[in-house]
Amino acid sequence: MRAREGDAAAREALLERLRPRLVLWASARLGSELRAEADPEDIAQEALLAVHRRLDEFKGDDRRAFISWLFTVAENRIRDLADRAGAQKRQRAELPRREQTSPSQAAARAELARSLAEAVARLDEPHRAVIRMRRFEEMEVSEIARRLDRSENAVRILYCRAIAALRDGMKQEGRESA
Amino acid sequence: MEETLARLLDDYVARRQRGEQPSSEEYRVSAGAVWDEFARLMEAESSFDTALQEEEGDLPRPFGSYTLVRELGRGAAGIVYEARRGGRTVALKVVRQGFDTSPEAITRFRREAEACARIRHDHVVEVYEAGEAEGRPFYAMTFLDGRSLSAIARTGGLPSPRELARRVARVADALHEIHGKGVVHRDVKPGNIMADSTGRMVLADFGLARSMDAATLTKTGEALGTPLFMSPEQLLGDRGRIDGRADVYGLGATLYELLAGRPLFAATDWPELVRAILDERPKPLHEVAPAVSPELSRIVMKALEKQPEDRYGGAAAMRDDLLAFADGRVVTGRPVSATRRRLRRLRRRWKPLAIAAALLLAAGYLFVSFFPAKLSIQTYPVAEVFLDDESLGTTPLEASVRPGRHKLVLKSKGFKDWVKEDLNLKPGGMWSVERILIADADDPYAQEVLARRYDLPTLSLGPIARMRGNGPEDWIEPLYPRGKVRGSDLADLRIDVGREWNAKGKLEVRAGGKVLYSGDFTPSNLSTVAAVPDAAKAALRPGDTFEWGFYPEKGAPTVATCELVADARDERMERELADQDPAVASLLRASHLLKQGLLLAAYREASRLADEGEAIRPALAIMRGALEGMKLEDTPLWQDLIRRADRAGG
Repeated sequence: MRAREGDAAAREALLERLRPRLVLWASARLGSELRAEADPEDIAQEALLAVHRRLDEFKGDDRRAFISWLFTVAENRIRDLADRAGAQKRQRAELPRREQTSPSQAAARAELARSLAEAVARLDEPHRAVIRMRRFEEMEVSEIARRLDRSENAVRILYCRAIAALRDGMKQEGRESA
Repeated sequence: MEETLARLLDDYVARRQRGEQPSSEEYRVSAGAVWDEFARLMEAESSFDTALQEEEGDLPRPFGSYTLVRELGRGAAGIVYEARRGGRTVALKVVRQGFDTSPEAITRFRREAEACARIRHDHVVEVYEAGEAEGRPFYAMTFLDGRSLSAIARTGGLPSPRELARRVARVADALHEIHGKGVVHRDVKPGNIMADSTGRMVLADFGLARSMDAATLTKTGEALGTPLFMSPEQLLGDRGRIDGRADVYGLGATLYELLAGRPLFAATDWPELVRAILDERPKPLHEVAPAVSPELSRIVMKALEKQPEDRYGGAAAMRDDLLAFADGRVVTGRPVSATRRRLRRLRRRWKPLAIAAALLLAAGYLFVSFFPAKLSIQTYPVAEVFLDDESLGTTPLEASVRPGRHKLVLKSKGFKDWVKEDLNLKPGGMWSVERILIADADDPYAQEVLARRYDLPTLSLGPIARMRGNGPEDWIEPLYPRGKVRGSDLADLRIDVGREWNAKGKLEVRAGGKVLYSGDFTPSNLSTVAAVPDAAKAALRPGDTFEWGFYPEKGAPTVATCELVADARDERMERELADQDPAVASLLRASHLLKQGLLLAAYREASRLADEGEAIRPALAIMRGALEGMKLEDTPLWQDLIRRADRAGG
């Protein structure tokens, strides 16, 4: 990975490229309830900043470890939020979805990203976890297998089922909003 | 079936993550019967890429004199955008960034554009302009607000067979026009026929169109179509015989798949598919799909004849028959009679042999150019890779090879050969392996290599004393972990001052000139052990180099320098190693025990190994380390060790 080889610019570029992925993940993780509390874009921004400040400390030797680190930082922030929200047990009317103000241009893509995030948010935890690890953090199957304590084959099948569930989820949403 | 899906999907994701741009079409053959399900999964899978669009940046954005508005689709080499210039909306096909922009590729791309630009037909995509922007060749063509027939077929929106025949007749008419201009499309398939909202079908993507009069660009089979819709003569690379009738075949195969709802041949691997295309008579369409009338079936089957001269003489004849069928008139196309087929077979007695020879030749490049299998091999230590006794190079190695059965051998000096007979490589598949080769346990070279890998200081009898901290006078357990450590080793960042428990000082972890942890350590007779708390370890990342150790108030510190390495793979490799060879596993275990200061256990493990006559020298070295650690140098055990060492010649 170029980002490791001391090229700060490449690292920053990598961070920037990871931003959409992080936003998507954050909005999937926040769910509609927490999204009233925090903006996924802010979460992503915070994580990116935190990581950016500590870029020099990262000497890991691959892109995946780097991505993993970034997601861990974001995940911690989301957990903090969830804990706080849970502790306060506030009742709150659900806020309307954030207005997609962008003109028709990126709107379609944003819409897809939104529906993808919704669908990811609705997944069962094992499915969501495997998608996060495989697709967002780019972990190798072997590593996921180790973490989940399953065989590699089982992980592949789990991922396949997660994608199928995701597809069904997106379809369903398409019907609901239609 | 689910396993196949999971494997293909996994391969796709892995390739994406390596920065490749696989298209789902590449998996068609491997997917076989589960292709439809796979294609549906891919829609969800690819929505990640579309939603994230990490590589292309935000749209809209300017591109040359155009504005790219949105992405319409991706092929192997190009991305198609909806684009605007002035008030006009066009489809812009742009060669992908990072894709082959060699002169040959650009020439091929331009030729594609030229071939298209010469054609004006209601049912052919019109090309307006070809050019280059941002260093990427592109061409602008009619923007079709529609979907490909393969997409429509998947979601079940095809018209009745009769109506389909009428519309496809227009495509046949378009092909007739194209052939008249000296161009063969060569890649007629459902994915290349677009239907707009009115149902009009338009032939798109001249990816492979080449002027018949132009010298062929490549002899390497670089430009080839999707094999499922490819005529036998194309498959054989029989250039002299490729003319418009190859497209007639492609259109026949297209109709067959659309009407039957399944591919022409249900081959599950490449060689089978090649054989089927060359040699297998497909089941008559009306037998596979009872809703299709025998007349329509006859048209399709005639288009699918193996010999070009048995098909329609040209696209126009096929068009006429399709229209006749659609209007309920008499279809003229007759299948080749059995007698004629038999006669032909007699006349061409040489043919099977020629086919076999051609197949072998064609297969070589077809396999590699279509669906090469990928090999990814990593080993410890470095090994030379032999595929069918031919060296591919040394590890780490990534190579594209011909699918099929192979014999794979990994060779490394001092290690046992690792042999995989009958390795079956799937077309388009990926086969990867990470191996620790089994050391020839008594080979000194292998021991040295392993010692480096595992940072085993004990693999030779000589330097054992070096692991002893600062010597027996200020006795402190040798610090482990040291050297390359894995995340799981961090649990062992603790010291035991043993008998010298009045040695006050600090336990510290330092990295990059900073002190990450510093704790006072005052051993008492209740505890002589101190550990680095977990919080202090959390700051350590893979790749970090850090020092840790005991800094006594008086005297020299005992410090170990460590480098934290990512641990998943190491652990797995170690497990793998343990699975492979009990002797080496046992050696590792003994060494770990020694590192952890479990001296008696280390001694036992190593002496068992030595008793079995395995890895004797390193086993003795560990025994010696353990005995020294336990201060048992003047005991019968020590005498026994020396006797054994003498016998081993050490």
